[in-house]
Amino acid sequence: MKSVGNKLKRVAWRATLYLQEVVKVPRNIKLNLNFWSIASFMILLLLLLPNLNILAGLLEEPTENWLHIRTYLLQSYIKNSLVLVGATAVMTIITGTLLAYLVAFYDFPLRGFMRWALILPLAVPPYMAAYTYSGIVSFTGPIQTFLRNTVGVSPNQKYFQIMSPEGAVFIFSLFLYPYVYLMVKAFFEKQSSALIESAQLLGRSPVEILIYTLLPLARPAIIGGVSLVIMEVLNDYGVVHYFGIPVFSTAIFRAWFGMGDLNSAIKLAGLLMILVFATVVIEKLLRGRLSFSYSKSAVRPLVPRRLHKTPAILALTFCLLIFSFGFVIPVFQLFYWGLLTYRSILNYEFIASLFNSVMLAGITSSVIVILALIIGNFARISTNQLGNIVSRIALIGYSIPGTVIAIGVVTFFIQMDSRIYWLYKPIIGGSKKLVLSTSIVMLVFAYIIRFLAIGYNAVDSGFEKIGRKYFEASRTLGANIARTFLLVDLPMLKPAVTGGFILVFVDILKELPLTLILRPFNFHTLATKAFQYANDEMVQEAAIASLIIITVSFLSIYLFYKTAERT
Amino acid sequence: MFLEVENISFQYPNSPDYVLKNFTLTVPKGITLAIWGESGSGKSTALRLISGLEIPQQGRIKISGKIMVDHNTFVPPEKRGIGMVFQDYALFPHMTVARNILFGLNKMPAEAKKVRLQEILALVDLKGFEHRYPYELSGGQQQRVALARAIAPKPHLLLLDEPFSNLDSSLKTKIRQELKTIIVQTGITTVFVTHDREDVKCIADIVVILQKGRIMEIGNPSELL
Ligand SMILES: Nc1ncnc2c1ncn2[C@@H]1O[C@H](COP(=O)(O)OP(=O)(O)OP(=O)(O)O)[C@@H](O)[C@H]1O
Ligand SMILES: [Mg+2]
Repeated sequence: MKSVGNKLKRVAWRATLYLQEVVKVPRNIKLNLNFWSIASFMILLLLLLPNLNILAGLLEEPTENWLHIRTYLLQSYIKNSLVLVGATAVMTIITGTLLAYLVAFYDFPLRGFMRWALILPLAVPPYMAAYTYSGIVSFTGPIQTFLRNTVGVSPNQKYFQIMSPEGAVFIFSLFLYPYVYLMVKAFFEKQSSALIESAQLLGRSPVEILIYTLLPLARPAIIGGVSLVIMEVLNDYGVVHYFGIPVFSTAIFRAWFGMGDLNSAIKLAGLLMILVFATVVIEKLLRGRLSFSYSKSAVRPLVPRRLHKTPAILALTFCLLIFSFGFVIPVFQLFYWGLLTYRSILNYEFIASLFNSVMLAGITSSVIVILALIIGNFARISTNQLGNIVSRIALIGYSIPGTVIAIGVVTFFIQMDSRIYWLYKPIIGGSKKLVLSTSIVMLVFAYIIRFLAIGYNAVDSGFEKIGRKYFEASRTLGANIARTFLLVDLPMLKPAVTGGFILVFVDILKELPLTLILRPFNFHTLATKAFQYANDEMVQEAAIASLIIITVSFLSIYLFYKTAERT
Repeated sequence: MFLEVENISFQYPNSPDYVLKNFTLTVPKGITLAIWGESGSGKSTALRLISGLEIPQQGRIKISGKIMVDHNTFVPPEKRGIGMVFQDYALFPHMTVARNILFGLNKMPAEAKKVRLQEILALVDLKGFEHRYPYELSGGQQQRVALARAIAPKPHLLLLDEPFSNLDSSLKTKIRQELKTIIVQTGITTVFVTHDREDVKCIADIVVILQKGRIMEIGNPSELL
């Protein structure tokens, strides 16, 4: 009897606990329902819909074309994509880590300059590098001309065949390794001297220390950097198209533009998306529970060891070599070509494409920064897990390749157009059926999906930096969330917002696949202009557009590097 | 009773235990109450609950008879008419002293604001500092700006979280005395949190001793400490 009584009591107790929670539901809904939460969810929903479209497309009835692709082509797409990704990953890990190691632990001539100069290849979009290098090694390029006219030999063309998978790996590695370099360098420089010294005391040689102590420690940083590299490779369209390598992104283009087969394009995009998610999952697994929380500020910061004679020369030579190939040579070549061609290309059309680039980048960056602020503020004020989930979702877009987003957005906008067609007639008149999907709205929307993560990251770290205390102080002083946001948060977030704006701006200037697929008819940006020239066998004419983009990227890197150094 | 905290239980989302359990407190109008306890006993949490920066899982808080929070009501912090001085002051770094103090007065007409600013600056003895930025002030001055900012909108209830913890001991005695004077002058109901006996003896009318989130004793400061 007694135990039954106890049981009943316990059940009753549970029921009261449960009821207490249920009773609070209306209050909690009211609490969480405000401009910030509603706007955040709307934004994220809009971002997710086009991508869900793609996954849904995987299940659709296949076309005949798709059966053909699947039987004859898919294997080589997968193989080529994996080869490019794998080889580039290995090369960037080696280059990036080695450079970071040299610069962080050793002192050699020009080290201070090299520390940031080695980031600069990031200012050169790989597809522009591909155009430039194929120009440099071409039959009429400077190298072969020099060999023919000055040395007097006519070498076999096969030694100059850069338009191959190997060539693509060369380009990707040379211009994407800074992602690894930056992360690993930041990690190494946060280590304390004690770490190295204790290993030295145990009688380990520098190489042993590197292999057994430093590399395992740096694993999260290396994986973090290389996963960015992989995303970039999977996103690329310019290089692989120019070099004629059939991979997913080129296949999606072909299906959509070449064969007008949206269905197959969606299926390819869906498969590519799965590949990307696999990468993300593998990254998470490899990193495991290791996070980036390196020992905060080192007790005794690392003092780089001075190198003398041969080691110093070797270290410097290696850095110089990478820097020359990754920045100096292509930039000089572009300058030279720019001088040759500026007269013929600086016409009205070119100015228009420059204007388009700046306008698109300006509009999109502004919108992204505003959206990021809304979501960031929501993530901060939400007192439950929702905030976390929302900020996770906001970061997804950057890992989805441009071609995939493009296909998702096209489908989405065509659906939208047919849904709201009834609206167009009274407003615009005429019988135009596709309005949104032929305007730059579609392109801006796609940019937002892809680059929101960049802006959000910047804004979010700004929020993190200022913390909650000013927000709370402001609330107790009678300001509601909106007023607090405008008067307290926003002024303090200015550096973060500016930073986010610049990063997004530069990324949009460089962006190629989305722009190519989604731009309105006859609409050009600097990037598409460079693409067009290069693919019309006019590599030299692509120089000015490339130089403008590289200069802007260079300035933003310089700006960030300098401000980061100061703090 | 002016402030009534009834049977509050509270737990942070990621903490295993209740930080406050069945916490009950009443403060009559015009009285200064101290919550005294060791570090981690839940003092700051109690103030955050009263000010509305946290929401309790259970219980009810009333101010002047109006329900601030219970299972179907929640009044956000900005509508509670409370002034709060934070442990680290949280002065807005991008605003001058004057703008910090005026922040809570946005509904006042411009003329009245000016008058109030001078009044408050005189009260906390900071005339001539109105155009400085917080980082251009000493610790003691910052503390007084934080107090000025909290009382400028004439709140009905003043909450102070370790108001002297960032000051050195010689300054502490002086500022303690000043705070007492200001509280008496304004007649404001005050709840303050400290782990320093001297603070309690000098300022409080009533003291509550908090241990691991539970109230152990309530009474007269000179008797209990
Ligand atoms: N945001 C938070 N999330 C989880 N746990 C918290 C959080 N803030 C405080 N706690 C925990 O709640 C308990 C009470 O914290 P509280 O800050 O109220 O203590 P306190 O009495 O003010 O201490 P102190 O004198 O050090 O300021 C502590 O055990 C603390 O670890
Ligand atoms: Mg505290």
